[in-house]
Amino acid sequence: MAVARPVRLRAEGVCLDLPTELQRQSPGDGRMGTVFSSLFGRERLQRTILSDIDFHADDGDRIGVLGLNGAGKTTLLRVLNGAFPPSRGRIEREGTMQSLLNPTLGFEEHATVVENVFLRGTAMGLRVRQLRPALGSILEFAGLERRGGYELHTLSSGQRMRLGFAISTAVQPDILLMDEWLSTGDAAFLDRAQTRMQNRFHGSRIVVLASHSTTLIRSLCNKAIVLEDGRMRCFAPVEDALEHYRELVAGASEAMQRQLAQDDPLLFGAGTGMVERIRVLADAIEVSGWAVDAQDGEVRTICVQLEDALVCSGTFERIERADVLAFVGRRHGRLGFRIALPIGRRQDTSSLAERLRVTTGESEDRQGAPLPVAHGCVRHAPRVDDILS
Amino acid sequence: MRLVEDLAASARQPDHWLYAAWLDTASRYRRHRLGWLWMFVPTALYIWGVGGFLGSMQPGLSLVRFFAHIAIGFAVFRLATTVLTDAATVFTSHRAYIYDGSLRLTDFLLRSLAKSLFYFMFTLPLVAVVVVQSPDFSPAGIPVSLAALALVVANLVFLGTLVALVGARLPDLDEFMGNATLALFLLTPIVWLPDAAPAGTLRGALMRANPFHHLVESVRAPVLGGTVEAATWVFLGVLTVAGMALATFGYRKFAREVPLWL
Repeated sequence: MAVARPVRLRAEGVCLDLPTELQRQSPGDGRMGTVFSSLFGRERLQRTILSDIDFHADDGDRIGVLGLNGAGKTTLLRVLNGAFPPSRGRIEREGTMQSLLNPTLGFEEHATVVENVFLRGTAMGLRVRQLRPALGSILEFAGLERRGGYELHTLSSGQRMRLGFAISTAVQPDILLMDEWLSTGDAAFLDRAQTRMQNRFHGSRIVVLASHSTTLIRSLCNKAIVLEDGRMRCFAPVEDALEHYRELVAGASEAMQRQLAQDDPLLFGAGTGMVERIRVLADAIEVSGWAVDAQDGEVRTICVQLEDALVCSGTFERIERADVLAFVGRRHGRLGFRIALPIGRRQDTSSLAERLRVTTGESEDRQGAPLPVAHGCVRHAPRVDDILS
Repeated sequence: MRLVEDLAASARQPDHWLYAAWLDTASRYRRHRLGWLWMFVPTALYIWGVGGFLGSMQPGLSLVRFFAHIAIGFAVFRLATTVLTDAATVFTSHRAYIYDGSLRLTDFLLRSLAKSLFYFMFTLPLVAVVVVQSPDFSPAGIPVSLAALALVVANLVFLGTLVALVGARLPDLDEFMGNATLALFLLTPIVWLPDAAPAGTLRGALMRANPFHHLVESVRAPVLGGTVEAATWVFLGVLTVAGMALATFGYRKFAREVPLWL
């Protein structure tokens, strides 16, 4: 019986510094200053892109890489695939590796489909003698058997993606690196692509998959790395890592949360709602509107935040709203809410509609994306001293 | 990373660079009505066009001899300058491949070198036609010329490596190479004869300081019955050793940095 070759992937204390060039801006120097800075204001900086990356993957490990946009997920994959040598620390690797980062890399417009199979295939490190027997099945998989002699530019963008996918996934590597799940094409191709991708995923002995989708990572991976601004925040079993990721997301900006919530409803719950009225009282801000959870039922907690002032409550005032019930198609439930955020006298209450964040969720530390705020909903109640004077 | 080891590894697995270089060459003129015949056009233009025009301005000059002189000079000079000009941008233009991490840097160097060599080979039939017609043609000089050509190619590997490393860090080099090529073409005895710059004169000293003169002359003189000055062999020897040492050192020290610079 053949003994399987050992396969593993380790990163020990890996850091990556990248030189970055900046064009210095010179505000306030007038027109000439702008002209000169655009000519001469070039600056070169060393930036640390990745630090403290420490993990090991053994045979059978499926490792998810989580992080907000710009956290360094793709860069980490490029360090693992050998493109970026670590500035400090080291990477150890045993087994054949393939990265599915760029499926249409190395296509040549004026070469034929068959020539492009060889060009792209050899660019992935395959030998011509490996590709020759695989050529037929690659073309067949891409549905391009009759177009082998056509130049690439005659293909539609869908056909190109199919070709790129078919070549990229033609061989089974030991270690597979993926930047998001690769899926492409029309409905008919999508099924085949999914099956092929799943085969490659499960056929690999180690997989590293970077994704925004916690659902995907939870269902496919047993461990995960969470990156925060290039630093490894944790490497842990997937459920623990997701908990860290949730904390990370809770601290992210509103715009980022909204974007993430769209990509990934399960992390937040796909609740909806609306802030309809914001009243500024003497010592509080009163917020009212409606909100439902993913099952169109009542939400458990609501948080209202204005800078440092924060209130989270499960015992807010719930209001009957026939219009919301009709909108979500339910008979029962009090889907309206009213909640007050106590504030000090000195609190700045200007442009509240932009600054106030109202979120709902299962619990205080599992809040969804901020609710949208209705236009022109802010009312300033007259202050008592104003009335008296 | 060691240059020689990487070159050897690329030579053992030439699948990508050789195929890609051939495809670059073969597919370039596909859409043209004349197809690959276009590859002969620049050479023909220089030999009979530029050569005929400049030759006719010099009374007493044998045009047949002059054509052979220009043909070899142009072919070798173009080989050298295209390799070095391409090298200045070779890593930048292969950035996406480099980020993919599957190939070595030497694969990209060899791809651009091989492409220039394919073009060079397409000039050879025309060069052969005019060389054979020249009364200076000396079949006995062919082996020396071929050996010199091998030396030229080796030098281009080393110089190309250096140019590519510097070009990855400083995009300025590409501009410089573009500007330098035309000047060097006029300063190298291609459309004029080296006799016009005898040793001991300022012209002669300038010509002998130009590496392209020695690269061209070492290939051209033997097959056209001329003698290569001893100084040319010395120059080429020093250039090869220095180029190899610098390229090996530079590659070992900076090749790791290239992906970070891009």
